[in-house]
Amino acid sequence: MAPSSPRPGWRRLLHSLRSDIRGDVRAELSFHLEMRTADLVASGLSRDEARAEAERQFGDMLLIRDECITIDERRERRVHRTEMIGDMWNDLRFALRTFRRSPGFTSAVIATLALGIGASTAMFSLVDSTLLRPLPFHEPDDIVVLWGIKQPEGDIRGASFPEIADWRSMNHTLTDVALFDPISLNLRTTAEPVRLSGEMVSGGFFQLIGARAALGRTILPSDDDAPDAHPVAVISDALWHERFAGDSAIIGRIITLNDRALTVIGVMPPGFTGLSFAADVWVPSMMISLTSPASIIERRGTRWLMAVGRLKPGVTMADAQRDIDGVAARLTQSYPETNTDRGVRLMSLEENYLGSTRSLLFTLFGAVFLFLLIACVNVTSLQLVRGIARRREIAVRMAIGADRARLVRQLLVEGVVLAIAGGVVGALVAWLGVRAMTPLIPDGLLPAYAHPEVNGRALAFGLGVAVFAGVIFGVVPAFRSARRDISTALREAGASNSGLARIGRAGAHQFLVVGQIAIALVLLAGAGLMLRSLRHQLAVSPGFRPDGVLGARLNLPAERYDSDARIAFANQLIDRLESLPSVESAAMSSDLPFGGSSSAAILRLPEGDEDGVRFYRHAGSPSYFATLGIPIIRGRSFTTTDTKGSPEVAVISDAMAKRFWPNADPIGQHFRIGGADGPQMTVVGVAGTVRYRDLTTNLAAPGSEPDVYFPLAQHPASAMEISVRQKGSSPLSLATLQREVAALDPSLPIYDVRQLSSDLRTQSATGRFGSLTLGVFSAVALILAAIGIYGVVAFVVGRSRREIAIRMALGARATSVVRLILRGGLLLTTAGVLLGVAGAFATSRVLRDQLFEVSATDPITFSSVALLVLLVALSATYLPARRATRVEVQRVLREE
Amino acid sequence: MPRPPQDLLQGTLDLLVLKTLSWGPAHGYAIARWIQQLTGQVLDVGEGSLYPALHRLEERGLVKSEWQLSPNNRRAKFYQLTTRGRQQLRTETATWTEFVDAVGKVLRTTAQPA
Repeated sequence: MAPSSPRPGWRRLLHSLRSDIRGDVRAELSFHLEMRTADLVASGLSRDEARAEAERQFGDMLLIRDECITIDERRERRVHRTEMIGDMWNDLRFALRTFRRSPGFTSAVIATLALGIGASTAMFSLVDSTLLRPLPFHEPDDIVVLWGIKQPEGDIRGASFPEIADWRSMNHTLTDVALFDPISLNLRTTAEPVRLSGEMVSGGFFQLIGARAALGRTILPSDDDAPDAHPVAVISDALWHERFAGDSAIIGRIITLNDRALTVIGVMPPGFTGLSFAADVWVPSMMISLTSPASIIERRGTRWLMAVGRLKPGVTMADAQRDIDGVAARLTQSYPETNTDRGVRLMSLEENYLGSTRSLLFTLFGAVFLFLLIACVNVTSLQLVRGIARRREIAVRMAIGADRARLVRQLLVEGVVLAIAGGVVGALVAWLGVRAMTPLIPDGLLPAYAHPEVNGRALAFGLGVAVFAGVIFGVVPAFRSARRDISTALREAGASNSGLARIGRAGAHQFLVVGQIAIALVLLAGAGLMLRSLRHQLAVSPGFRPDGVLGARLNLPAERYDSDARIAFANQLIDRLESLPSVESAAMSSDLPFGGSSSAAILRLPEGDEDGVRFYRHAGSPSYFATLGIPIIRGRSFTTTDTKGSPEVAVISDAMAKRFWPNADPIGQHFRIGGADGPQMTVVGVAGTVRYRDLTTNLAAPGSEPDVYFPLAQHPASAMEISVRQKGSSPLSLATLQREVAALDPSLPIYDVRQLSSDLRTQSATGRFGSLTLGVFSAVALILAAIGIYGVVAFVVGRSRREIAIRMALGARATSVVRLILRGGLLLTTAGVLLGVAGAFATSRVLRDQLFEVSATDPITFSSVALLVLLVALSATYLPARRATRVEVQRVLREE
Repeated sequence: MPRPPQDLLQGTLDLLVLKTLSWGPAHGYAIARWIQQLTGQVLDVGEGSLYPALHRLEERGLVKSEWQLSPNNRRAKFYQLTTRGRQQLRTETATWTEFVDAVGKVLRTTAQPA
């Protein structure tokens, strides 16, 4: 190939090298032969003789030709290689030089990309750790959770022992169904007693989820065939190391759980913590007497258990649901008393773990995606602005012979360099973001197995985003400006009078600005809705005064504590605690608000309907209401005279009183617990309505489940909560509490020690987390959008300096020029706001699950957000407009 | 004593080619003719062997080539010395002369060295 006609590298590559080289060599050699032949003819030989002689003198033609071709091809390849590396290097150096020359542009693009990439990578690691990571069980997608539900509401209630056995034997779509119940147990050790989280499981459980023991064996069906027949336990690797020093003789050893001796039969592999992701010990379900009366095994109507099953190969979730619906219908026929309106709902493991978190995560991920979109749009519009500024440079380079492919490659290299820089800074942002976010994630928002971190997968995701954002969004506009006709570009670049009035007219920039405003508004609307919902939540009164109240749990094993012993223990502990100087009052109860351990039962009014009303039962000592700060509105609280032998009494919630006895005095009214022959209760008092379970349920609604209190002395529970109202600023220490309990019984661990005010805060944590994250994203999005608007307006105004100068030279006042520019800005902003409001209307529905007492299309939120965006956008327009009018008219006009 | 080139013939041919090109650009046939006229027999192994030598020199960057019209109006590949080629010619000429001198000195010596 002749060096005088340079071709771009890649096009030369496309050219078949071989044919060129071969042709050239052949031509060169035959030229030699022809010249020699001609010379020989001139010296007197005949044509043929001359030809033959020339060939003889030349030597082995084929050999020489091949050698020349080999040499040339080798040379060609080397030239290409060095040329490409050199070009790349040049492009890179040129790119870096360009960036040095425009530090403002460069840092704006890198910062924008870094924010977008960082935020999306951080969010990705959150989603990855919860949604994308496979659960640590054998083929987890085939595992289903079976929940007993109450129709027609579909409320989740759990299942009873006989029901789970029936589900197992009557279905046709599941290989097995296993019982599963998260429990907690006291482990007696030589040192202080320990509270353990455990799981009570049926014999098929381990086989079903595909878990094997690391040492010994797991619980088998033969361990679970008769009540209390096989006192065995499997322990976790962590417990084995922490409490038994990793002793290899652990198998066969006896451990004391809830005062019962159990033989350790196996140790699970490290990291295995069961389906609850918290368990340290597993016991057979037939050992139910560890925590509850063994008679429950027979009771079809006592439901709280969870069940898991595994889909048979080829069976879908829907198939299995239909099958199990049929099972439930047959059970209703067989056991109308207990199983009327009872159904089964199948859930995937993921759905079971994530619940409503899933929708929040998807909402946040969607928000981050929109945020990333704004960042990319910003980069695009920055590139467009710069593309126009560089139009002259590009046109000049093309005019002096640089070809388009080369230019595009140059711009591509620039895009990649920017993307990589943005990606690197973005990874840092993501890392910082995850670190900052993790402590803010409320307990229970993420399933126990999720530990968000910026790992290799997250970085790979970030890199993908960087390449996508940087290359596609960065280069396309650059390519666009390179494609333009040279002469037009040169002409335009020479005379920059594009016209101020153009700000508001349709064009690429304008389109992008409108898009940015719209997206920012959608995000802000989401954040606004979350914030308003949070404010409503925080304004909700819980119905008790949690400040200064300490709560702790304790379990009195049924082995050593009969009901009299429990009452005696409670009374003694209350007395001991109340004698402490830092304690104002102390109480014992079956449960505490937001403690998550309330139990439910059915009550029947004398003239009520057949079904009865499901209610939450709370047993408390006489001091319970005072300690928690629950007002007694009518009647009386419990007293020490409400004892085992005295008439059975109850205090009901205000909401219940208003619902059942709206026109009568509730004091002295009666109701029965359980069936029509259940014990009869007399209402002696009405307490203020307390929000026990969450802040958002409407307790005044007709279908809601009321709260009813009974004296602890008449309903002694084995699992109890201690509550202590502390005096002033002298908090009760955990050690003191432990000491007082140990003085009565040193083998009792206390656990779950917490300030009730923090339990209350946890209630709004999800809303807090959601509104904080959305708030930060949308605020940054608004700033980015404002920068985008500012950039475009500043650019157009900058190019219109001459026009502004002329207008002002002709007598236009600064204000009228500003007004002209603002009019364009207003047009764009309004379009963006309208589009954004429409977008917010269309998308805010996804937030509905997260909102409390706020409509997803709340007009107040929408209008204030729209106003905010309008103001910010207009200021972003006003600033460059204002500056433009400060031009020195004479100087500008002379300049051009 | 300076070492002679590994392949005496090849090295000599390269040197001769460079020398011929030092008078100005020339196509392969012209180079071959000049070398023949001046040496008579170096290329007896076959004129064709000149061409791999030329291509190799080009690969080494000592000469460059260009298609041009020959005086009789035919397209021919003309070779030309590069700057590096010119330098190479100078150093190789010096080496060669030194080598020839040294060999000559040995051959002229009559007495065996001590």
